[in-house]
Amino acid sequence: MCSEMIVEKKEIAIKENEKLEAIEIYRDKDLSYYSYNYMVKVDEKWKRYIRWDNFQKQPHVDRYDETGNLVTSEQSRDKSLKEVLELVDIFGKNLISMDISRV
Amino acid sequence: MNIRLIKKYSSVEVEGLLGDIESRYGGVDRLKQRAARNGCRDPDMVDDFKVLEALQKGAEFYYESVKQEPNVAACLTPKRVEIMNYIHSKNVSSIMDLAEDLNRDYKNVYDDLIALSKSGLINLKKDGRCRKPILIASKIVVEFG
Repeated sequence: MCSEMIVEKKEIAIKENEKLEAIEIYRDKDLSYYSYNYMVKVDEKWKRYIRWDNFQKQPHVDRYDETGNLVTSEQSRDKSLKEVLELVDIFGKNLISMDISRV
Repeated sequence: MNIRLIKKYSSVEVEGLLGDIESRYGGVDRLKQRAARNGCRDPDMVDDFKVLEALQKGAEFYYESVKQEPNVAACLTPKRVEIMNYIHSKNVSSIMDLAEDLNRDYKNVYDDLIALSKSGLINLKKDGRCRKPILIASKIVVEFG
């Protein structure tokens, strides 16, 4: 039987200069892939600073610098969009300097 | 107050998305190799690869934008809602055509489209000398609290 797949791309405004970009891919209603990107607007350009994803079935969190270069990549437990939104809502830009693999 | 704009892509739009991703990376196999090699160093490529892979297996594509701007709701006058409803149901090729179809003055329709565009509800895509209004959402949800 052919499985049902859905791709959801979401852009969620947090504050005027902060947003979360999410990609979620569902196979038969199960979340098979996600990426949640915390973005900050600097000089009219959106820059990714933190990203949670489960590429190659390995949940991890990545941190990027202002030029978009990968700074750190650490294992993390699987995160849901709801959890990530709560983190972003509570910590905002402080997330950029926090040890996020532990939160 | 949250405004949720939701759009399910038509099969034609999904084809366009697929073509766009494929042409950007020179084919699926190349994209797959590069995504596996670069991984977290190129996160957009990883996302494009996963999206492409799913769409090629027949996945449906939904776009959702969540805004916290009361201006979006304030922008929705009855005439503008009529415009959005019309664009949703018909293939409108230009602002002039839209004004004629709705039997309205061109300038008023143009002003309404600019207001809708500024609120992120439509795109005015350049198509030769015309500007084609494209609806960003097929569903708008207003959430209070």
